[in-house]
Amino acid sequence: MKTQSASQTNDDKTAMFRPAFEHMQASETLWRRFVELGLPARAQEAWHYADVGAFSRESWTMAAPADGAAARALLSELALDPATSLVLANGRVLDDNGVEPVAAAAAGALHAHSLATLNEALTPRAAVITIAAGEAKTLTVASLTLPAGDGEMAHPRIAIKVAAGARADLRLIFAGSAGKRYWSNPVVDITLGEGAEARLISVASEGEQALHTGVIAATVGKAARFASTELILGGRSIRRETLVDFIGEDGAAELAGAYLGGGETRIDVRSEVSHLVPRCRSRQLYRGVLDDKAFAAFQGRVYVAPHAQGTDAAQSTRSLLLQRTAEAAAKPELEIHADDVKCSHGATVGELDPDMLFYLEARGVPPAEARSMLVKAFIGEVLETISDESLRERNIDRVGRWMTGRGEGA
Amino acid sequence: MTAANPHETLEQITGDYKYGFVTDIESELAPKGLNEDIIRFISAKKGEPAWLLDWRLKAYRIWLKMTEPSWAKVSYPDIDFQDIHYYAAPKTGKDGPKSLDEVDPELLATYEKLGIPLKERGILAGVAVDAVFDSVSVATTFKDKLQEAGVIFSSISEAVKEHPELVKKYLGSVVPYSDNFYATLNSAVFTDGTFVYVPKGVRCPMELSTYFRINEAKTGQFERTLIIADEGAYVSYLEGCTAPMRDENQLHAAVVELIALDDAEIKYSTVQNWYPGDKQGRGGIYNFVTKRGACRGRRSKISWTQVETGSAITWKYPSCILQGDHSVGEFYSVAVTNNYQQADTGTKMIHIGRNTRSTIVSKGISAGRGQNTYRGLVRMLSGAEGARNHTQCDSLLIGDACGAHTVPYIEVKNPTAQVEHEATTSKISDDQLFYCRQRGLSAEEAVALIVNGFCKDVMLHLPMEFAVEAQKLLGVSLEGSVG
Repeated sequence: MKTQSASQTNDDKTAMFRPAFEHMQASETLWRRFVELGLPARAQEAWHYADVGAFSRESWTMAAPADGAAARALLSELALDPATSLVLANGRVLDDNGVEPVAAAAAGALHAHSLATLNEALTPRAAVITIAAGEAKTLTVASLTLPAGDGEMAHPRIAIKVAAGARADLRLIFAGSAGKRYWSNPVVDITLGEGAEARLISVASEGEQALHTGVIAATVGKAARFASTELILGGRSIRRETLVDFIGEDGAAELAGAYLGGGETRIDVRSEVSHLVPRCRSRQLYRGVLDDKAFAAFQGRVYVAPHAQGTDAAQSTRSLLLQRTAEAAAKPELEIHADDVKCSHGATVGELDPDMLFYLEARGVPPAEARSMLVKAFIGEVLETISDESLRERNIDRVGRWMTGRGEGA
Repeated sequence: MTAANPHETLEQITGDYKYGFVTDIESELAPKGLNEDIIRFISAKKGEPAWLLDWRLKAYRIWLKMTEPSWAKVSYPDIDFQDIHYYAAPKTGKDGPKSLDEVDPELLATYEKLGIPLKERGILAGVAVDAVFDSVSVATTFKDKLQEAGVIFSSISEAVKEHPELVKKYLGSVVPYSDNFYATLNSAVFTDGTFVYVPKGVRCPMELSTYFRINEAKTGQFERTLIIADEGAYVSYLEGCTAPMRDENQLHAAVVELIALDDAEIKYSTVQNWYPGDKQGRGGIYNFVTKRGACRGRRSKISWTQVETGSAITWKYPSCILQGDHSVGEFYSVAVTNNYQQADTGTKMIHIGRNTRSTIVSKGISAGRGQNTYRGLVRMLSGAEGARNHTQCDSLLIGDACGAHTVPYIEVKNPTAQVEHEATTSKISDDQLFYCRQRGLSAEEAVALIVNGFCKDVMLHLPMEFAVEAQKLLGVSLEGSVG
């Protein structure tokens, strides 16, 4: 595919970010890379369904360090214990729990990503979590955006290094002030050494006016296992990307994602799994539920490099439309350059099965409850990938509350 | 022109283009390049009415502002659109081989394998038709039969003269002159093509084929086809043929428009086997085609079936606009890429009406260094109550240097619509080959057998005689890909 070069209009729009670069004393090299990449545009396949207008809708300024009390209030609202969590407020480490922000360059896979470049430039020091060889660690990371006013942005950067044979269990929560038009652009950069294992559970529950564009980039070493489950619940416009690069043989990745959109929410979920070496296995499972005038797109891409023989990649995406005004799009893409591979994908879009609804209603279940049950079951496929029972239940409750918040529905 | 091998032939021919034709036929040949005068020249040569010239000029002016599409997964050197002759009078065989003895033996061997009747081989190889066989009588009987049924089957230039009201009404109504880069270029410069009109309630008494029209006029590189099936009509149209055809033009940018009114059905089958370039990927046809059908009427149906084995680059997406309630769109495709061939092909199913249904079955086969991409769009608009789509995309890889890609777009704006997409990728396993070899099949026969099994779902939809030829063709196209 011919690449899109930065056009004049991109230059014009990137200029909006110049004051932020100057304010943060960001490197000129990154500025040049950002300008060259340009702001995302529809013509770029990876941004085909993105809300690209959102990036230039406000003249974004960097959010100042957040007020600790406000952050702690939001944490208690989220039922998180600040004593055991790593908290980032407006991109800065609030309660470090021994995590020091370190100057670190972003992973190579992110060099071609304009918003990750913006993140790297505007937050030069990442919160680095290191898990030493053979160790295991469980950690909750909360990334909060608490702007003083509209039009503020934060670029949290988290780097996770899981050494050979180590195990990481991480929960990530992205949340922020209700009612403010802020932009959170977090990048989670995770490296897995040989035989390492990492399980990520991320919940994006931003304020209802928020723009969120988050990336998780995983570099998976030899015989390492990476698992990521995402739940997208709130925000005005949310894009979540998961990029996986297999760099050692016999690696495995399991990606699961559930997204729930109501009101006029725009959701844009993208995954890109690059099988660069032989005998790696990837699984992708995505489920979306759209209500009101919500729109969601799922773009999943599996790339199999030449000679990455023995690749086994499967992908499944399904969306439910609860209202006539809701919309869904899907683009499950395969690019295969090796022959001894097993690759498949499946995609469906439809409404709640009227027969199933009837079955439940015939047994005395009120319509709203029946719908809620079916939606929970539909999303349940994704949430079942969470092995911790209490965490799984908490997330299923979140889906239930989301459905209740929808009211009686149609 | 004698040919040592077909590759040289093509190079010599493209060489001809570089240095121009001899002066004595200049009056029948527009100078190289494209401008409004050339378009006026083409239009005047064809004796076209003013509205058509205006239409061409409008297209040209829009084309000037357009850029070549770059989203397809194909790469090729830049095309110099000013280095092409946009009008040449139909070839009379003057510069072709004089007899079969002058034709490349390799080409003749291919005809032999495909079982093409002796008298037809000459036509395909470009031997002057009169020298081989006279098809006038055949053509006449068959024209009489169509006339009796009231079916209009003619070249588009003829139709412009004899049925201007029909052409004016439908031309560009499915693929507008501003549609896309290549379709717009075609609208400005199309030289000829086929026109079919099947009147109300008529079932066309025979399968129509471009093949019958081969010796009437070579349709050239900017072909335009317009097929209209009026209420309750049925027509089956075959395009191309299985034998590798001699062709002088490297760039092909055809447009096909189909219109089906209430209860009408159009079945459009293509077998495309143009010169794919040599084993090093030199030469070969660039096939940039826009094909689109409009199911305007209630319960109308358009079915595309294609077997694409030729061309260096294939860029085509036969599509259906399902406007009429209960209308049906189908797309069955086999695309083979071997050596350095690249294919980016698929379909678009746009569901507008209620209870519209579409089926997509795509089988891609990659061998050698071939790159094969399925690219498709299924769009359910908000009025597509109860609409259904099922898509099945399968890829078969032969060898570790080829590529198979799937890029489906699914867009749904109506909750009662159901869309399903499935894709798989596999290879011809050593076990399968061993099993066949053990039973006495050669490696090539085994590949042909397995590939034909893989493609069966599509082959079933080809007209009988076409299917038999296409099966042989698959085997021949993949020769040398295994072992």
